[in-house]
Amino acid sequence: MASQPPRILLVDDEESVQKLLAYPLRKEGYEVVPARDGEEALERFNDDAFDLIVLDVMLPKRDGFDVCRRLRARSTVPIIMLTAKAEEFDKVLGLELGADDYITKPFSMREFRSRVKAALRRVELVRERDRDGAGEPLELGDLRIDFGKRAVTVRGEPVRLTYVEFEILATLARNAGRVLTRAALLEGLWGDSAYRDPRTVDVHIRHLREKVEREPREPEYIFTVRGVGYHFRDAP
Amino acid sequence: MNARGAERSPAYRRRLSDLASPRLRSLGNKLALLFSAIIAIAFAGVLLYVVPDLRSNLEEQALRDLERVARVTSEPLGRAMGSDITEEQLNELVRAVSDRSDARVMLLGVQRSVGVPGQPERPPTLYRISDSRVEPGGEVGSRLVRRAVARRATQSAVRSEPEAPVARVATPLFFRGRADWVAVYSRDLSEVAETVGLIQRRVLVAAAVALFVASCGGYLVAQALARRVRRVESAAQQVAAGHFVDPLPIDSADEIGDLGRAFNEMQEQLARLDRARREFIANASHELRTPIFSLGGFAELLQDEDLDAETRDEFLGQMREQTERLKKLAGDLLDLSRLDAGVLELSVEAVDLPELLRDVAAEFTPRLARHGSELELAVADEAAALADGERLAQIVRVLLDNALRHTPQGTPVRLTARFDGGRACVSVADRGPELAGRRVEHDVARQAFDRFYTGDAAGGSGLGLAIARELAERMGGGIRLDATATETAFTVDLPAASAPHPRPPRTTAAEPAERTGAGLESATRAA
Repeated sequence: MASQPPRILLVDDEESVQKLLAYPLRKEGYEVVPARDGEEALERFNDDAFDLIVLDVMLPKRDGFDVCRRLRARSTVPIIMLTAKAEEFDKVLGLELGADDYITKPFSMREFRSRVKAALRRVELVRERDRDGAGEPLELGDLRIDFGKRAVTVRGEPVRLTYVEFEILATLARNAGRVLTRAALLEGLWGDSAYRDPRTVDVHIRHLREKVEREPREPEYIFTVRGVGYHFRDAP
Repeated sequence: MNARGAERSPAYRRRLSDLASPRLRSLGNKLALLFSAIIAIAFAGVLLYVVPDLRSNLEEQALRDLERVARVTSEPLGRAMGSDITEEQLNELVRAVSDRSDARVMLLGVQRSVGVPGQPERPPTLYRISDSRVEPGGEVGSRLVRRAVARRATQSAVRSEPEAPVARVATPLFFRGRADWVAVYSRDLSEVAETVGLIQRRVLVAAAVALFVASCGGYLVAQALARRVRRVESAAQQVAAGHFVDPLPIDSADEIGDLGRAFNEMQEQLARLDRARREFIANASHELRTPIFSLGGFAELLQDEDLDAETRDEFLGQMREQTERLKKLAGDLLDLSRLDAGVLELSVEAVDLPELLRDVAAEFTPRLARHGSELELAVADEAAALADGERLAQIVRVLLDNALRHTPQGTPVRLTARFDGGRACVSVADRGPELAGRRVEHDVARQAFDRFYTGDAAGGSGLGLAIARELAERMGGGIRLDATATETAFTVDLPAASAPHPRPPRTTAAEPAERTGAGLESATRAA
């Protein structure tokens, strides 16, 4: 991080929004690369490596959801989506497509900054953890979690998890048997749970179960504690 | 949602009460009642007219029969009376006649009084000579008999008696030209009464059955119809409450089928409008939200950050631009709503196109300079159009703005006005070297005038062309987009007007312009 400033791809078709959002990022010392539409975003992403993508949903040529899906297909780079609509539909759709976080317009510059920082901090944290060695891989039944490689296999088959999904799974697995509230999970993920909708945790959990559990309706690993949160299966 | 719920609840409650007690005024009850009434009237007609008619016919028939019998048998009776015959033999004969004629036969004698001159003749006295029936009874001097005696002719009548009507025939028996005896035949018509009574009873039973069948049938048929109508009704209520339903199944070619079809069409149309409305609102709110978001963000940065003068100026410039954008958007939305409501007032008159286009072009001078583009103005000298000058200027502004917005820096733009087949055509065309090879797809040409359609990320609300088209159409004209590989041209055509007054040819201060045709004014270059 010290050697090279984080590179952020800022995708928004509005000139003024580009200027507005680029300022605080540049002020933090990040390198901001603008893209005006979906096509351009994908091109830029091909050309360069980025530490974070800030992606508007309403884009000409190719909308943000589509861009998100395509980016996610080849990378685990954190993606923050900017949505103009506050409808649950968008949030859920964005998260289902693999966005790690979303902010609903209008948002304050303060919030934007904290989201971006949290996302970058997370990336850094992961890198450190990966460098330090994240402990022994966990094996439980059919499930194998390699914290160091950030790899998950079920019955020997590798499973693709988004950044957030892996983090939630890892947090739960490290605290196996302990019930973690949604807020605690959010804090573990983002550093704090301010501005966060606890229900997004449920969406991630649902996706996790679909990928990890044999029968998502009758989970073997991730259990719901009604009204409290979730816990991971404690040793076999 | 609450208001909607409240709106819906009365209908909902009504439907609940319908379920609880079948509607008295329902189609089913009405139809059943109507059927029953028709049946009742038909049967009442049968009972009141046909049955009495039948009865009198049958009685008449019986009477004629009795008359025939009387005619046949009275002669031997008269002959017998004239001959020497014992009472015993006479009785025998009368009984025989009675048996043969299936009637009671009574033989009466006529006793005439001796007439006194000057006094009215007294009616003759009648006395019974013989009777086929053993037990006495029956009137001897009935009116019928007296009439027969007085008229010396057979008389007949049906007399109603307590048990049953009786047909009676009185025949005078002549002997030597004198009618001294009368034979009275009377036949009991109880059979007729019985027959008629039977028919009456049958008719009543049939009426009862028919009434029952008619009411049930009417009710059921109407129920079936009503069920289909109610399906449309409940669907209509759903739609009224704002919920679109699946298209109604059209299972018949009758009027209710037509109703269903019409309903489905209506719903489709409503759904289309609703979609368009939602889209419009979503687009409008997005268009509003973006500048507001920018304004809020820049304001926050200006307040919280320690900015250098240059950045602050840039931010303020951005804010001003966003404010302009909001202002323009508000104006556009107002124009559109006025156009939609049909309350936009236009004062159409002969507009001097060279003047108007020059004025608008002048407005764009700074913008053209920024864009590094040249504007070539080629206007037929006498060009005049029937239009609202203000609104036409607005259209031209939209088209120029559009041309500058969607072309790279330095792209030349041409603004022309000419007559074409009695129409005044104003056209804005851009053709830059960069544009060569660019193809405007067919759907872009079609969608360009759609509200909020923006072809690229070049900004703009996407309302300008929509408004321009509406305005042009409102002024009796139109607007079209011709795109080729080298040029994109928007052309407004309007009704032409003869120039308000001839004006001397103008010369312009700008560089000499290329002539685009005879009679065209020299072009102006603004750059």
